[in-house]
Amino acid sequence: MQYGDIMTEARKIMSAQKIEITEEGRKAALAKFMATPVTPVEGVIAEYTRVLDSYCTKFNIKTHEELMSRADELEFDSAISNDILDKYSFIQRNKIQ
Amino acid sequence: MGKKHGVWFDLIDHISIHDQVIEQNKWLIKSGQDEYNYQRLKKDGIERLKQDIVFETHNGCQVEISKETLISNHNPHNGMTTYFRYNCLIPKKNYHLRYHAAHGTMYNPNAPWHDKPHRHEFDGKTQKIDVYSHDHRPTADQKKTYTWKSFPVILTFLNHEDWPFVSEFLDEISVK
Repeated sequence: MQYGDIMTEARKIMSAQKIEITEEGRKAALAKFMATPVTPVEGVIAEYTRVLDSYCTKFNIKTHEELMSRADELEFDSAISNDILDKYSFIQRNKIQ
Repeated sequence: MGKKHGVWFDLIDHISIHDQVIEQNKWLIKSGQDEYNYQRLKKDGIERLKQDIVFETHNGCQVEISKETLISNHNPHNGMTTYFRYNCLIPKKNYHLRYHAAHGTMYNPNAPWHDKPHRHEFDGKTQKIDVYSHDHRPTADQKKTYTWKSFPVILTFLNHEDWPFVSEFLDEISVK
């Protein structure tokens, strides 16, 4: 399915939910966007790498990939599994960009 | 996100829609048990908006919503969601619902859901996985079965690639 087709479906759902884009809503959204702090990705990657390393040490796991796979199968408690997923996938996304 | 009435949603529309969806579902959220964090992430001239929401619901769900959206001068990229994770845990019921975008396949390339957006539903000892994709496995592998903690995984390819909206996720957890 092409991106445009996906968005055609998205449009139908939005319409069914009666979600409207208003000037007032856009102004509020713009204000929120402008007030959002800008963070360099490199610092976030370094921080996330440290956290994943600490999980590897804690659970005696050799690689981040194995850690991710086991988190995906909920071997750890929910909060830890989610944390691993977010941080691991963030690093992967930013490595390939 | 995308376009409406023939016009592409831009990033500001996207933020506005996201906020409306959360606002419309405020009735679900326990007062004072919610956190909203926004960051703009910048790398090599590419910028993304990261939106993270954490809250508890009146029906006992611990919810996390995390999204990343491209910021760009060019449509349709401006406002396009590149990552999502929606999570709902109900500890009392041992129930866990996790939607997320694709993640790495390096460790277990044989699991055919890792490289596509997917949805896990852990209910007691059962795990169902719905994949936002057609079955992309080689024909010989399409009858393969998978296990989770020695229990079978019920795997379904949804045969479309429409990412689920936050609103659909919230609709789903509102009746748990």
